Formats: sequence, C-alpha cells, structure tokens
Amino acid sequence: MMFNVKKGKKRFSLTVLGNELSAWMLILPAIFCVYFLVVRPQIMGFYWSFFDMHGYRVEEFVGFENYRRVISDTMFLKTLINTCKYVIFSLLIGYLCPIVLAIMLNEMVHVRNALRVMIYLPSILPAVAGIALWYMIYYPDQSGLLNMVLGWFGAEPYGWLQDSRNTILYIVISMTWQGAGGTVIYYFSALQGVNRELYEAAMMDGAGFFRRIRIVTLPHIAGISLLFLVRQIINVFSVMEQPLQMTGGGPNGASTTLGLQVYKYGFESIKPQFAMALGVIMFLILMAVTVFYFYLNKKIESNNE
Amino acid sequence: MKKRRILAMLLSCTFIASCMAGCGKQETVSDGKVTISVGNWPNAEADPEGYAREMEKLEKFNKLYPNIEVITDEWSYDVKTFVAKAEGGTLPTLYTAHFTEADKIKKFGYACDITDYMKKHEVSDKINEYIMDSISYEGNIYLIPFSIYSLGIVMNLDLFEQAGLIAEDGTPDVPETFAELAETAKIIKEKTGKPGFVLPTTQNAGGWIFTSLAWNFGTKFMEQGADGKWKATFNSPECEAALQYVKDLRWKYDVLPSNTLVSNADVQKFVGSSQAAMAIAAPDVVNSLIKSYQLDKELIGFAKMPAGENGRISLMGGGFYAIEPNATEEQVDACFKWMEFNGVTPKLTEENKQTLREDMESDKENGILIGIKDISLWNGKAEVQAYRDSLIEEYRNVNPNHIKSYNDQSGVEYQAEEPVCAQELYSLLDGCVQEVLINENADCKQLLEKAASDFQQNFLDYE
Repeated sequence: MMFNVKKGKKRFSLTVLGNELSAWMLILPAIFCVYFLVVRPQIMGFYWSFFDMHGYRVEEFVGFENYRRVISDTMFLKTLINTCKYVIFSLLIGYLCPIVLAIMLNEMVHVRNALRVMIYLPSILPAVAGIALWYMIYYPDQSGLLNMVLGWFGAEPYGWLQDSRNTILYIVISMTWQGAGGTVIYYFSALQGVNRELYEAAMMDGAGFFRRIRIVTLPHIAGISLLFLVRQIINVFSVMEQPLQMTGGGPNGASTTLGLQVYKYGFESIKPQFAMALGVIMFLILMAVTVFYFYLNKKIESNNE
Repeated sequence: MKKRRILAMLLSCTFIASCMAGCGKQETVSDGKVTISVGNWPNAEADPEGYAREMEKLEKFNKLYPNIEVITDEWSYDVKTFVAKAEGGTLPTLYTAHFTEADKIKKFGYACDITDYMKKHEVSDKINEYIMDSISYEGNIYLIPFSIYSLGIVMNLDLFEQAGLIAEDGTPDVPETFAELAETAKIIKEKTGKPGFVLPTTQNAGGWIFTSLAWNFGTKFMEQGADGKWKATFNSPECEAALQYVKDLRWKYDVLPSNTLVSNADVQKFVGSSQAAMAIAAPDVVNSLIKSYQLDKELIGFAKMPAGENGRISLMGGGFYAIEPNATEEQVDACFKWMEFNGVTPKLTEENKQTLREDMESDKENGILIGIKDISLWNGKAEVQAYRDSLIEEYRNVNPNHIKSYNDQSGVEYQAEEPVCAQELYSLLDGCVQEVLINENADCKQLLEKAASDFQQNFLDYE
C-alpha cells in the first residue's frame, strides 16, 4: 500500500517507520517486561478468578463462586475495615509528614544537606531490616526501646503492638518512618522549582511565614501532592509485609489486612482462585480511587490554567 | 543515525536473549545414563562442611552407580516457591519436605505414586503401621519418610540448674503432667526471674502447638459424619479447659514471656538464649538452638509430652522424601538407589552402613547433639533401624539423663495432624491463643464458639 503513494510521501513514511522502528526496538524490552510481569498476570488473574482451581491448575468455570466465598468469609468485613484503618491512619500521619519535612528543609539555610541525608536514610534500609528494627523498638518488655524510655520515667512496660486497639496505628508509624524519606525528596525538588521571586514578592507585600506557605508553596505542590495522595492510598491499601512480619496479623486478627489475606489464600491454603478474586476486589476499589484522582487532577489543572 | 539504530536493535536483542537464557529443560536419559536432581544440597559457601560431606558421598555413589548422574540442587522446600515449581515442572527429582506439608503434596499430586515400586522392593511392608496414613493418600503411597518424631518438651538446663531442678546425675525434674508443667515453670520463674515456659502464637504455629496440647485435654477438633461432611467440634468443654490452661499460664501462674506475639523462630530464640526454660517443640529444634544460638549441647534437655486428663498424646511429625510427579521409572529407581545409599530405605547394606557411620561422625564433628532417638520408622523386619539406634548410642555426645524422658516413649500415643484444613484451623486458633494471652477477661467459651463457627462456615462447609 505504502509504495503506491507518491514518491515524496513514500520517503516520508519510510523515515517515520524507520524512526519508529528504532523507538519500538528500544521500548520492546520494556513492553516485554510490562506485558509478562504486569499486564498478563493481571488479565489472567481476573480471568482465572472465575474458575475453580486444583493447586495452581485451572479446572472448571464457576462464575462468581470464588467472589461469593471470599466476601462471605466471616473475616472479610473485619479485614476490609482494618485495611481502611491503615489507609486513614497513614493519611493522617504519613501523608502530611513528608510535606512538612520538605517545607522545613526548603526553608532551612544551615545543615540542610546533613538533614536531607538523615531524612532519606531510613528509605535506604531494606524493608525487612526496617520492620525488624521497629519490631525491637516496640518490643513489649524492658528490652524494647520505647519501654526502656518509659522505664526511665518509672513507667511499667507497655504492650505496644499487642494492644489490639492501637496495633494498626503503631504499624503505620513505622511505615511512615521508612517511607517518608523517599517522598520528601520529590516534594523538596518540587519546592526547589518554585521561583524565589514569588516568595520575595509575597514578603514585600507583608506576607508572614504561614501566609507565604499558603499562597505560594502549597499551590505549587498541589499537583504532586495529589499524586502522592493517590499513590499512598494505593500502596497502603495493599499493605502486607509489615503486619506479616511484625504481628502476623494479630493480636487475634486486629492488624490483618486484605493484602495479608491474599498472601494467606495464595501461599498458606494454596487457594489461588480466592487470592485472585480478592485481588480483583482490591483492584476495583483502587480503580475507583484512581478515577477520582484523575477527576481531581483535571480540576486542579483547569484551575491552574 | 543508522549506527544508533543498530545499537538499539543489538541492545534489545541481547536483552531478549538474556531473558530466554533461563528456559530449556534438561534431558533425563541419555546413552543409558539416568539423570536425577537431588534437592536440599548444602551451599558450598554457607555450609562448607555439609557441602564437603555431601560431595564426598556423591563421589562414592558415582563409583557405585556409574550410570546414574546426580545433579545437585540447592532448592529446599519453601512454601512460597513450592507450588509454582511443582506446576512449572522444575522441582528437583528428589526433594524433601516436612510432614505438615504432606497433605498438600499428596492431594495436589505433586509427588510420584510409588506404591508399586515400594511393594516390588519390599519397602512398604517394613514401614510401621502408624506411619502409613501419613505417607499415603487414597490407598497409594507417595512419600518416603526419613525421620519421624513426636513433639516433646525442650528444656534449657541452665535455667533448670539455677532453679535447683536438676539431680546430681544430671536428670532434670521433668514435668509428667500439664499441671506439673505449670508448677515447674512457676518455680523457674520465681527462682530465676525468667519465663518458665514459652508458647508460639503466630504464623499458625500457635494453633499447631495448641491442637497437640488440647488433645491431651480430650479435645476432638473435627468429625466426619456418615454423609462425608465435616463438622467442627472444638466448641467443647474439653477444648475450653485446654484454652483455660493456656490462659492460666499467663494470668494465674504468670510464667510466659511478656511478648505474646511469638513466632516459632522466636520460641527458639527464647530457649536458645536462656530467656525461657521450656517449650513444646520437635526434637530437631535442639540443633538450631546449638547452631543459631550457640547454646551448649550439655544445657539442652528433651522430655516427652506431659500427660493431660485424656492421656499422653503427642503429634507425630517428621520429614520425608518425595519424587517429583513426572519422574520416569528409571528416575524413580535411581532416586531409591540414592536413598538406599543414604540409609533411608529399610535395606541395610555394607555401603549404607558406612554412609550412616560417616554421617554420624560428621555430625559429631559439627557439634550436633547426638542421642535423641526418632520414633521407629521401620518395624522389626528392618535391620537399618537397629543399626541406626546402635550408632546413636555409640556416638552419643550428651549426658543420657538429659534426654532419658524423651527416649523412653512409654505411654505416649501418637496422633497425626488434623485431617482437613489444618493450616486454616491453626490460623483461627492462633487468634484464640493470642486473645487469652493479651486479655485477662477473655471468655474462652465464647472465643472457641466463634472460632468453631468461623471454621465451619469458612472452610469445613466446602470440604
């Protein structure tokens, strides 16, 4: 087809094809990886969640039976509520923390670099090491760091992670400690991009510190902070390692999450069909959040224009 | 421009090629030579002694059977990778696993049916009757056990000594009943300030130990009706008494550590570092106490399960070999040759006598505690068991009084794991045990009612 068109056009198309070919070749490995490691497992997971399985072997189509079983599990509601608690706590504590830290760093003149390194350090630590560290910080007898501090003031050791009312809160604090550093860097670089003249102008107009933050800083990081809001909800919603390693989901199921339940279905009971069904349910919930994000993002962008 | 394009193509081709390099399957039979892969091979760097020992064995095996090629595989059973490897056909031809995993392996067909082979080679009629259930499924045999034990009480004799609970000849004051266990733990707590007892409570280990404890109080966890349906039956006074006992350990006797979220590994850490005196454990735990926590082997005692109101019942556990399901007949035969060479089958030969003796010597050199005897795998018809026991006596490297109670298994009844949904049951019981340990006002009856109803609704109704 292409060769039947006029000569000029043909040359143009070939060049485009040539250009595109090298581009395609370059992104081929990435497509290959994304397809086999992300897209295909998701599609197949969705598809297989409607099948009964024997181990990892797909047997017969059962419609929504797997979904019915997952949702009718007597622990499902509790686990869903727990997971939402993780998200809420992490938004209350973990979401603002990096923003405040980044603004602090940005306003600082001295020891800024040293502090930057310190804030980022926990993020370099392997997740498992961080979890083990916090496990010892929260350790329920005198050998735990926090209880040691309590001991200095003559207080009795406290159960920390064993206090089922607050287990999730304490786990979220440890997650924030480890996760905030990475996010601070993004906010910080966004803040560095803010034109200093804007601050100066605001100062000349008599704006104080908080007013400057409100009218100059915050509008500039609105886009990125919205992005991190969604990212945080998605990440925390699928939390699994922390409860698995710190409490095993306990005490008595107080810190168990949907992610941990997926792991248990998949690896402990070898019922991957339920793991996939629950995974799809989580996906749908997060999809709704993401759609809401795009809606908000659009709004912010149109406001900026 | 052109150069760059070529470079891009080259780069992507290299990448794809490197991705594909992992694929491809090995030939199993070539020029009359049978190839098998054997799992659990020690890593040369992490465990140089073990590696050297296995390589030495392999060399001798190769001389004996030049037509069998053994490929070493460091993979050992791991719950996260097992099913994927089994489905992908990449399991080693011969692998080992723990009895807690046996159900899954038999049920999903991840092991080769070796009934005929075992009959033909007169192995099956030498296996002790009470082990048959654990290794077979629907009348066929799938697993070859290599060590069978029952749970017992591991004791830190350092703390026993401090509490004045060791006689002059080294015999520890072993609790014979669960009531005595609580009392002994209390004495230790009073004299040393250290918890007298520790129970695992997380990662299903809490439920695992609790079922075994509760059997002694007369608990039946489930029953199968005439219609084949299973019914959860542990919302019973017997199970309540067992849970109350656990609760009392924490609140009445106060002999448990203050940390109540304890994994199996934590239990070892507690006992190994003299932070707790006793725990219900499998005998293989002693060697991790020595290896991981440098506990002197003379400071380790092991006793049989204490008795409860319903008798002295202990969970039977252990390890077994399995042959991957797609193995050919020649490969099965080669695997059996390897096991026989290692003294795992009941046949006693000059070669495996030597292997067993050398294994024992290398264990002794590596500081492993020798003296605890397994439950006999084989009945009177197998000579290998008698030989193994005589070797254990010959190479024993601890005071026999430390382990006398366990080696004398008199009065112990063995019970296999709960037949269906055992892991799910353990997970629910983990929760019950955790609740009574953190909440002084927890209602045992109510907890068990809820757990039994959850177990029925979420799992048994679908069996």
